[in-house]
Amino acid sequence: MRTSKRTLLFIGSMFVFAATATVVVAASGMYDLSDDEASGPEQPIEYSHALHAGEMGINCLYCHTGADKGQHATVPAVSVCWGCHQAVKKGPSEGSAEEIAKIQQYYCGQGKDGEAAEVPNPIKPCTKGSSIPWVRIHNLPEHVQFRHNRHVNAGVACQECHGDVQDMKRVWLVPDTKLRPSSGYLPAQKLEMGWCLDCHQKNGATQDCAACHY
Amino acid sequence: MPELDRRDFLKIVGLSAGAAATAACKDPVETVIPYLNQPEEIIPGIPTYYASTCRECPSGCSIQVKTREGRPLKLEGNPSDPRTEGALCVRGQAALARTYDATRFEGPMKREGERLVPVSWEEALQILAEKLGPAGAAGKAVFVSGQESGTFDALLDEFMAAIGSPRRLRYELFAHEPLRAANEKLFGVRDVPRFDFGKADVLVAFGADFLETWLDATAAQVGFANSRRGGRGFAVYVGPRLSLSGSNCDAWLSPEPGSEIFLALGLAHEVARAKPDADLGAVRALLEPHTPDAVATKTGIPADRIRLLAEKLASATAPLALPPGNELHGSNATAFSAAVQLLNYVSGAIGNTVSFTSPSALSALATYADLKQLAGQLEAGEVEVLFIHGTNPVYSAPQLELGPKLRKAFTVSFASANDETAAQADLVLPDHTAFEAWGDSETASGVRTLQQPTLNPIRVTRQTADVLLELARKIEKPVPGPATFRERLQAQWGDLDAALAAGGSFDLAEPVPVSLAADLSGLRFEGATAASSDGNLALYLYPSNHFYDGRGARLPMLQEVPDPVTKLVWGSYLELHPTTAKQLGVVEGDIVTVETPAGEVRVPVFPHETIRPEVVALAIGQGHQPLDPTWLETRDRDRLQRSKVIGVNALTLLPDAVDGDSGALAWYSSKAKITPTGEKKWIAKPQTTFDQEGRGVAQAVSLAALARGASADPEHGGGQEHSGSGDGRGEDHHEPPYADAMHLETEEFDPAADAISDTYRWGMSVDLDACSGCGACITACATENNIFTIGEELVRGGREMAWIRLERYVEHHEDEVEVRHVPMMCQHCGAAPCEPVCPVFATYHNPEGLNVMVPNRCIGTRYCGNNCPYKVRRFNYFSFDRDVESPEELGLNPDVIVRSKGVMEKCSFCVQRINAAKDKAVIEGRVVADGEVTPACAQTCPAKAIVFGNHKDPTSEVSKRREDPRAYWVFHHLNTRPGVTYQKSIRRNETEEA
Repeated sequence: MRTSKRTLLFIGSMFVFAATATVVVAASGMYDLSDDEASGPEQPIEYSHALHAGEMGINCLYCHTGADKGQHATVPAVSVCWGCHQAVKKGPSEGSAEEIAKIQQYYCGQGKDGEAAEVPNPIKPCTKGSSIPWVRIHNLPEHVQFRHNRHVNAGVACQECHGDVQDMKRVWLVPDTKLRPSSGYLPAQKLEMGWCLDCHQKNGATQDCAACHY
Repeated sequence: MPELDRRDFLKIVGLSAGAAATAACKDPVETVIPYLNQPEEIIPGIPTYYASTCRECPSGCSIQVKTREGRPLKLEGNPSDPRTEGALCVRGQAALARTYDATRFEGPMKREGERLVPVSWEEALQILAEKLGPAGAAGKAVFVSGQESGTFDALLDEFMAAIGSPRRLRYELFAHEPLRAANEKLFGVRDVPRFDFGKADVLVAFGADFLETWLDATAAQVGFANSRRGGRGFAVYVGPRLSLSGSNCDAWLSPEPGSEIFLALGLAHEVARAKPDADLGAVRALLEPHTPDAVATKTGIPADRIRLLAEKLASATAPLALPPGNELHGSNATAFSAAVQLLNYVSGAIGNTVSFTSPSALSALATYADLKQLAGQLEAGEVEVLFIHGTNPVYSAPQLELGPKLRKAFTVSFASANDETAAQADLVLPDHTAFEAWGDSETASGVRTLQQPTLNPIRVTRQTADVLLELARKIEKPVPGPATFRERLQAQWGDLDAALAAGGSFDLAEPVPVSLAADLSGLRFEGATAASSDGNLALYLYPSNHFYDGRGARLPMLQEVPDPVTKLVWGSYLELHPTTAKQLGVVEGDIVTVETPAGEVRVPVFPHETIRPEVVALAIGQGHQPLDPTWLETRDRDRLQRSKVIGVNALTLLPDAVDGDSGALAWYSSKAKITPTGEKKWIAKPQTTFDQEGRGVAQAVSLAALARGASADPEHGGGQEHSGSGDGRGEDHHEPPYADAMHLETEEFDPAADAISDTYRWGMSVDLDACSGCGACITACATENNIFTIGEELVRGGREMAWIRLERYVEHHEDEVEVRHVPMMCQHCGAAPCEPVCPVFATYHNPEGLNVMVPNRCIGTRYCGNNCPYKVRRFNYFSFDRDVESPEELGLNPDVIVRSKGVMEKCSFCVQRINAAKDKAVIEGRVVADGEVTPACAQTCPAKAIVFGNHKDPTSEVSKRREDPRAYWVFHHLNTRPGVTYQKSIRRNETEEA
């Protein structure tokens, strides 16, 4: 028996509807742009790139010292935060003093009664503290070997991949909103291979698998 | 609306399902943990190198330890060490596994009944202090260490003196007692001289495995290769079995077992006769009876051959004869060593290639007789506290039955992992491993190397030196001087930081002239005699290239590197000649019992041709007790066989027979009775034949033919050949059995053309004349590229994972055999057969000529592996990555992907190193220079046989070697256009002049 055109159309449209709904839900689930969520996950310290890199204009490489030297941009050692914040105890926004105080808690440890385990000393570094467990935002799979130094030295701005970090309160993985064939016309995550290759193709960079996969 | 067809339907379903799946996946939260205070010399992601010392054997080669974020990942020889020139041996390359060993001792332990139970350091030291106080005061404490030199050695002396019992034993299985005793008789120096391999032009090795374990084997390899470049040099090996060292010599003389000494004397006689003007004193008279004809009768070596060789030695500018190693130490070991040293004396080698320096660390080693004496003292209760550090006498001296004797004293072991001796200890105070500890050593006089920690101790261990210092304080007999070992080093070295940066100080000491003793009447030259238990086959035990005296057997990586001669893995195998096997009625894999007056073992046989028919050979080093009796039950490591006994301890076959003059154990002193048991073992055998079957994998050219240029050379072996095709590549040109495919061979093949890039075509060149087949490249590659060890069962199934292997082929020339070693890795073919068959482009040719394998793209069809004529592709049949047990993962190289189940892998030419070099070059705006990229195999090669570089750079070393007349390509006739050029080994003929 042949199914009538009408029935087929109905089934078809139900699928189309379901698919569209899923795509929308999926996309919004991945890239919630609301003020709170848009700015990525909560970090152990409410550190603001918008303030440091944006308003105050601190060079990215001041903290991410490895970016022009090796494969990892590197997150600064706690001592780097502490270097400034042993003097700067309060920021412009509300609640900043408490956040800044956390640096010392991490760096010099927290003993009984909220006292530091070690007395901070401007000359001698603390050694008994624990590091800050930052939540990783830009996470490449282990089968990719990415080298920051090549990109930074080729003049690729940090923002090209990381988005306008200098405007972000919390760093988040900005989606690539262009619908490209390489991503199947879906909003693509950054740091996916198609997205890497788009840029490599445009700029005449290598498209050799062995450049990144070994 | 048009009808919805099946295709559109599937598209929509697929799309929505895909989107739903995407939405459902959320990456797990990962954290980035920065340093608290980032050390100045560390940038995460960039390796930091520290100079240190390899402690795998007593040679103490200086090394550079590559660390990433505080973890040592790879060892490389220190180019500043004049002995090794940056090379490291097969054992050294595997040494890191000892630190990341999951079955290491967790911390100190004390004995409770038959078990060792964990205890705190404080308690352990308290227990020991209570015992040591009275024992020390009574002079009843003894310290047994391995060969130590430098600050730790001095500390041991001071410690034992401080506690009031200055009794020490530096025990090594390879203590060279006969050589030391012979030198005392001849030259009045009880020491081991330095042998200058780099200088020697004619070398005769009397059963010394100089490329494997004898003295500084890596230094010997470097020197040996250097002395033979360009077809120079001539080497002869004397011994009943063609060892790896022997197979690198140009001639093999195999005298009747026990008569080897007479060959040395016969040669000395002839050399002395050739130098009538030389003032040799009493030596002439001493050698008088040993005419070539007399020697020929005793040894079975034709007199003409002895004369010929003696002539070569006499006319050499730098002759060198090597005294016997342990494998030829018979009942006459001292006399034999003296005979060889006499040969060195008459040929003028003493003071030339053989030189004595200030006392070497070897001169202080205990003899076997000393250990026997200690065993007696233990038995008699004359020792109350026994310290054992860095040596395993319960295993290596089974004749003395030390196990129960150790229980009579309070035995303290400092082993960092379980061994037979530690298992008998009353207290275990685990030391750091070599990469966690401070130290220094001076093995060769003048070469002082430093050892520094490169990672935080990963177990609750303490450096023995510091434990001893604390212990002495605890019993109120402090050792004078600084309170910690680090401060003692500082005091010794002065500017420690500068010394650490260099790795030590490397000024080989000046030789001290020696003169022959006036009275040589004490020398008696007799053949070696053999004890027998109605057996008739001489038992020949030899040190293992991979396990040294047995210490390497613990490392699975070394178990899985095929033995350089038998090419077998994971076990002990009795080697015998095929005719002997036939007489005994056994075939390969048949288990036999080997019986001597001292004991018997059951072992499978492996017949091969490079051994004398009257001799059976067995490697030492295997047969260790299960490595982890205390807590292994809870772990499932069966595949790596840590809970099983691997092979047999061949040393148990040695009777307690001693060479009287030196106190050495006489190894070559028994006859064995072989009885088939009727049982069989399925041998794990990565290489199934030593016959090239005419395929011309390993090619050779005679020196004479090389000098003549491209003309016919009837003597190359490896199959039929057609004479000079006029391609300028020499005459050793192979016609394969399927000659009709020859038209595919591209005469004007140029590897440089096989890459789109204008700048690079990466390639390799392997000089087979230099390659010794030692296997250092295999362990170097495995460490660098995270290659897993898979265990005997899987190797048996042909699933070995090594990216580089050493093939060994035996060629026959009348009654001579010739052994050739070929390192075989991915050839990075310009027209690679693996590439077109990959359905997903997981393997492809990259613009720079690399045959790239992208493991994460691979879907595991294995077509590529099947299509590869070189069989160099390896498939992950199992999830070896999931068997990585903490803390082994700390040793994985983060620059190389850890492959998982179901993907293919293979040699990448160390693409991570290529990319690192390119990064640097691109940023500096230049091209990668020649020599800037060195793959792990090439870096570690003691013979510098492997060279890597850019074929497109005409001045690069690979390009030059490609134009060498010895250059050839393996399976070139398949038109694979390989990126690896081989250079034929050179056959040096006895009768020809170099």
